[in-house]
Amino acid sequence: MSWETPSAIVLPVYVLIVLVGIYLIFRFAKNKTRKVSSLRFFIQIAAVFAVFMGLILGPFNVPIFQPLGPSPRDRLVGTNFFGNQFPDGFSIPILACYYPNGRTVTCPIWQIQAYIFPFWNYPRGYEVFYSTTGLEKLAIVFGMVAVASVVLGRFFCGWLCPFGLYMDVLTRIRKALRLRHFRFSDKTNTALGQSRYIIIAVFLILSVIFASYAIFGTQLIPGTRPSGPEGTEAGIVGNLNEPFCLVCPMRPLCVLIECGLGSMKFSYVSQIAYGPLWITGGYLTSINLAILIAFTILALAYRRFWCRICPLGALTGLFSTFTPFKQIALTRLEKNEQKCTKCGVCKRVCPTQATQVYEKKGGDVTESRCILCARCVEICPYDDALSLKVAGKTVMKSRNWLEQQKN
Amino acid sequence: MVKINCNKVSAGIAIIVIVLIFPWTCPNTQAQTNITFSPADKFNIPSYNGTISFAVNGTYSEATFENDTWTFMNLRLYGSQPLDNFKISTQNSNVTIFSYLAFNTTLQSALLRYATEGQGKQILNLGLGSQEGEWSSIDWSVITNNNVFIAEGEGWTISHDGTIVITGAAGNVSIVHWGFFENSIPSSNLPFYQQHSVAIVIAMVVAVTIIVAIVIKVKSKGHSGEK
Repeated sequence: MSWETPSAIVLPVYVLIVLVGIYLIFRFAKNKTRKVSSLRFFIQIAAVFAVFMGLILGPFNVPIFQPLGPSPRDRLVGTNFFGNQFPDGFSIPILACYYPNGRTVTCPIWQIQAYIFPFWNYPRGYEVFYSTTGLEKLAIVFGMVAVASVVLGRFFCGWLCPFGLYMDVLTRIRKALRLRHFRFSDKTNTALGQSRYIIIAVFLILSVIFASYAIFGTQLIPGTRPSGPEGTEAGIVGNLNEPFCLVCPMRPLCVLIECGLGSMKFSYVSQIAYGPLWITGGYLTSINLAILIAFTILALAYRRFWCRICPLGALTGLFSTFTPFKQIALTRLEKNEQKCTKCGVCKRVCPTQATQVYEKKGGDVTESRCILCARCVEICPYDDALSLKVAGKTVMKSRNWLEQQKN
Repeated sequence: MVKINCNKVSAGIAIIVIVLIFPWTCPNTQAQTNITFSPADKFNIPSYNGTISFAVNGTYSEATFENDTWTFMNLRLYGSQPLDNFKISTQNSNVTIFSYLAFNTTLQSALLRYATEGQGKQILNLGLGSQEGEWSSIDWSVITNNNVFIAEGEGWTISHDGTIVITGAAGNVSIVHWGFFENSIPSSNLPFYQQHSVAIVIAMVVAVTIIVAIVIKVKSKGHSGEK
């Protein structure tokens, strides 16, 4: 493994800060109804730092191109483990956007879309020159997502996803402004949850359509042929083969942060918009930004709005809730029927309006909409009524905080 | 009795040895003669009011000036890789070339670094062959001070023959060529387990995870049954 560490001291210091932070939260957090939330918030920030370490720290004291050393992208943890055969690194089911320099893991949705290209032996597909075929890479990505889903499930969404943190920050801002949030009806919320699977299917089909020249030898959409008229490649090859990324709200967020940190010029954002497809490219870029703004507003109004329709969450949820995966999922939310009084507080505080925790009588109440944030466990005022279990061991359980506060 | 002239024999043997060894030891000297240059040497472009120089010592086999463009054959800067056919012109600016580095890692890439005084125009062609026959902007990046990428069309353009025109840049400039095509990693010669090592590892991890998860599930069911 030839992983060039940023500095011998950065990683140990990072781990130390995280451990000390967790200890301090456990030791000194007084508010019993916010203890888990505080811990989660801290871990979310730590996760963002871990995911975009190169972006935040810069190019690890080695100027990216002066001389041209390995770019931070080449410092991916997974890349260094897997080398040429899997250059884009580990798939972690969080929106660890591919686009900013310096991320340490990769979004599986990006990988799935990108690997559809080499699967069809498209001569210009990403990493087509690596020995592992596209089909094999797709299997690897699904394998990684399956392992992650079986072990932690949508815990990734609740505790580690950078866009989840963004929405939680928006929620905190809303609370600070003393504004109330809105709620969907259960029917609408269920429909939104089901739409996730349609969304992921549509974008995977679009990936194939945009690769039509490589697959069928003809363009289903004019302008998608590589090596076409002057300038088209910049707008087509680099972007349209990943259609979900064009509308993903995480991508512009990352790009804007990267520009804000000074490692990329704002003008580069519009690079895809050159050539004969200038108008289309500009329009698509505008959509990208418009979607970020739209989801920002929606996340202010509805808690964790994106999570309700997130196709990545759907993929993880599919693995962790679909039989037989559901049967062997290691992280689960459990309810004790005898202790539950049906007060309904769990349903009210759930950021994604998951209903099983309230409606199901007892046992495993994990569902595909549940992001395992443990807010219900934290707020439930009955001893042992709700518990978060990992590998059969209880790691969190509800406490009678009302009684504790009286004392 | 024949008297042998040892000196003549020795000289003859020496000549034969030299003739035999010479082509092996000095094959290139017959093909070309390298001309050395230093940072003090200036390559002027009078009509464009531009000057080209190098920050380090180096060599080239031939330098020609035609159509206000300098063409360097077999240019080699000290500490850099060679450039077979490098063309450069500059208008209203003085260019100092630092280095040309070619990288043969996971991503084939090459980098030319220079500094420019005066916000003029630089026209460069690194003479790299395009596999598709023509170049487009996706193969190239232009980076200015502070590692900032410039969008194509906003300070630089590229023509199909790979000629890059940079305007308005001041200070350090890096031109990066991204070689997505060259030197595909040959996989067919590798043993099966090496060709598919990642897939094998992931399959094993998936299998182990599922087995462990099933064992935990069975155990926890057993415990709840006992209760």
